[in-house]
Amino acid sequence: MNHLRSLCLALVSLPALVNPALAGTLDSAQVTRIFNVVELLPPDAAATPASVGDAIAGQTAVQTGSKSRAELQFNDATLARLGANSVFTFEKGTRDLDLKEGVILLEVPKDAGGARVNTAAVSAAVTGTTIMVESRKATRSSRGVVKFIVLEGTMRLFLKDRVGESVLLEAGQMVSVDPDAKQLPDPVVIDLARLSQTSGLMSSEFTPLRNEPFIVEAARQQQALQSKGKLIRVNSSLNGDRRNPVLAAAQVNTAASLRTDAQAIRSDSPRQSPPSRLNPPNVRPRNNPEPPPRPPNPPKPPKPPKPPKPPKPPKPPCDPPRPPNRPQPKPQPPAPQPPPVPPSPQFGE
Amino acid sequence: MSRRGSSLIRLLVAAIVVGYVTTEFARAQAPSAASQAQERASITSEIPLGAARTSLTSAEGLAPASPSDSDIGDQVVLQPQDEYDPFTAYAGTDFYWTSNAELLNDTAGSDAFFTTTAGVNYLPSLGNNLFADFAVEGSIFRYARNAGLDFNAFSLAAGLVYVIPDFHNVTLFANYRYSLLTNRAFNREIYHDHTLTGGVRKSFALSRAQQFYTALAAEFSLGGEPAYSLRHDFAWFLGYQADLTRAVKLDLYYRLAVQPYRYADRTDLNQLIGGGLSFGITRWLSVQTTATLGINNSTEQIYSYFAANIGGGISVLVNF
Repeated sequence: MNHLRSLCLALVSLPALVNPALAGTLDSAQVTRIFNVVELLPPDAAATPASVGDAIAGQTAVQTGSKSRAELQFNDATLARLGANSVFTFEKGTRDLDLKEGVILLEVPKDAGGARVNTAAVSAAVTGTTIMVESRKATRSSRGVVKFIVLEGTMRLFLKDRVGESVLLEAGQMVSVDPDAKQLPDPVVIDLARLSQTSGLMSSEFTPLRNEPFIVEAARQQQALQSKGKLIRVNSSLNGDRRNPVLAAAQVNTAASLRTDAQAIRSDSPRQSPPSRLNPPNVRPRNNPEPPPRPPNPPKPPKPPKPPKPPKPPKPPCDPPRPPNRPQPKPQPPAPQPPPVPPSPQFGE
Repeated sequence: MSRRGSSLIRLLVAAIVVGYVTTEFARAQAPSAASQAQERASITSEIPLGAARTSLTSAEGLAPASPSDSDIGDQVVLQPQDEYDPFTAYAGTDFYWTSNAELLNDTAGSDAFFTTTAGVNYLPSLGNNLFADFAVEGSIFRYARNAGLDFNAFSLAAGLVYVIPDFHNVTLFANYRYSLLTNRAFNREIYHDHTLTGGVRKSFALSRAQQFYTALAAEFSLGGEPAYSLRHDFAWFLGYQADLTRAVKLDLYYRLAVQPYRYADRTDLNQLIGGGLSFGITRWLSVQTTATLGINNSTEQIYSYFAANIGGGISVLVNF
C-alpha cells in the first residue's frame, strides 16, 4: 500500500521534476530562525551577518558557523534548516538546491512539485518529502562523507558522472557514501523515532514541521514492524534466544554435573552404579579423620509384608445344626503397620 | 525406546501443538481496532518531535559517526527481517576432551566424549515486543573410557521473552523447563526436574560487528527425583561476541552461579569461562571449536573440582 502511494505520488510529481516550470520555482527565501553565527554570502560581495526576516535571492549563499543553525522559508513554503558549519545556496527560477558543505534538513510540501538537491558527489530528486543531507569534504583528520536520510516520502539518489547509478530511498532509509565512491551502497534502515528524538534540526528550538504527522506515521510503522520481529536492531538481544553452538558448550558441564550428582545418589545400587569414586572407601580424603562426606544411603526399610488374607472359614460339609444363637466367628484384621520411613534427605550425616 | 520414551515423545508433541495453537490464538486476537488506536496514541506520545536532544549514550548499533551527527540525531541501524521465521531447528555433534570426566575433586580421570544434540525452538511474536518461547532438545553423551558415565539428556521448555526497546533494549525472559536424564540405554531415569526460570539480559553493542552482553537468571527447582540432586541456580552471565569476518564469529563468556541444593546441606559456587570460534560454511552449516574451564567450589569437598574441556564439532541450524 505504501509502495502504491509512493508510486502514485512520484507519477503525479514526475512532470514537475522533468520540467520544474510546471510547478512553482524557488525564487526567494526568508530567514526565519538564527542561532549563533549565520552569514549571507552574496556573489561578488562581502559576507554580512544574517538577521531574521532577511530576504535571500538566488545565488546568495547562507553560511553557518560552529554550533550555529539557521532556518529558511521559501516562497512555495519549502523549508530548509541548516546545521553547523554549513554553506547552502539555491538557483533562482529553478528548483535546484546546492549544499556546498554541512548539513541540511529539507521539507518540501506535498504540492510544491519536488526539488533537486545537489552535493559534490551525489544528487537527490525529491517530491513532497522531508529529508536530511550531509556533505563533508575530506580533511586531514577525517574522511569525507555524503549522507542522505529520508524522514518521510521517497527520494531517488544519483551518483554524479555515473550513468544509471541510482537508488530509491523510502522513509526511514539512509545512504552514507564516500564522496569518491564509484557506486551507491544499499540503503540501511534507521530508527526514525530515535533520530527524531535526538536531532538538533528537529529540536524544540524550531517550530514543528508541517510534515511531522507523516514522520510520526513512518516511525509508527517502523515500531509496528519491530514489535512483530520483522525489523530488529542490529545486535538485538533477541538474537541471544537463538541457539549458538559455541554457547551451547556451556551446557555440557551443567548437564554432566547433574549426571554426577544424580548418579551419586544411585550408588547404593551396585548393579546400576557407574564407576564413580563416590563409593567408599575412595571418597574418604587421606588426611581427613572425619567420616566420609558422602556415605552410601542407608538401605530402605523393607516394605511391611502384606497381611495374609484371613482364611475363609470352611463351610461345614453338611448341615450340622448350629446352636441357635451362637454368632459366627469373624477373622481378625491385622494390626495397622506404620508407613515406611522415607530415607532422610540429610546427606552426609 | 521404552514406555517412558514414548510417553516423553507424546508429551513433547502435545506441548508443541498447545504452544502453536495458543500463540496463533493470541496473534489472532492482537490487531483489534481499539488496540491499534491505543498503539498509535502511545507511539505518538513516545515520539516528542522537537524534544531536546539526548547525547549518544551507548553504541546500540549506531551507524558510523559523521561530523553533523549532533544536528542529524542518533542513527540506530535497524535490520529488516524479510520474513520472520519463528522456528529454529538445529542439530550438531561435538567431540571433547575433558580433564575431569566425573567432575569430582579427587579424580584425575581425563576422558574424551562426544555429544550429539538436536532440538527445535519456536519463538513466535505475540505483538508489542512479546514473544512466546518453546523449546525441545535432546542430547546424548558418550564417553570413550568410562562408559558408565554415558547418559542422555532431554529438556522441554515453554516461556515468554519480552524486549523493551525503549529501556536500552533490555530483554526479560521467563520459562518453565522439564529436564530428564536417562542412562545410556534410555531405559532408566537418572534424574528429572521441573524448574522455573526468570531473568534479564542486556547487550551493549560496540559496533555493528561486536557486542558485550550480560544476563542475570534465577532458576528455581520445583521438584523432581532424586531429591538430593535438586538445586536452585542463581547465575550471572557475561559475554562478548564479534564477527571477525562474514563467516567467522568469536564468542567469549563467563558464568558465575550459586547453586544451593534443596534437600542437601550443600551449596556450590560454580564458575565457567569459555570461548570459541565458529565458521559458517553456509547459512545453515557451521563448524566450531570451543574450550571451557569449569571451577566448582562446594561446601562438600568431594564436589569441588576443576575441569577443562576442549573440542569442536559441526552444527546445522535452519530457521523456518
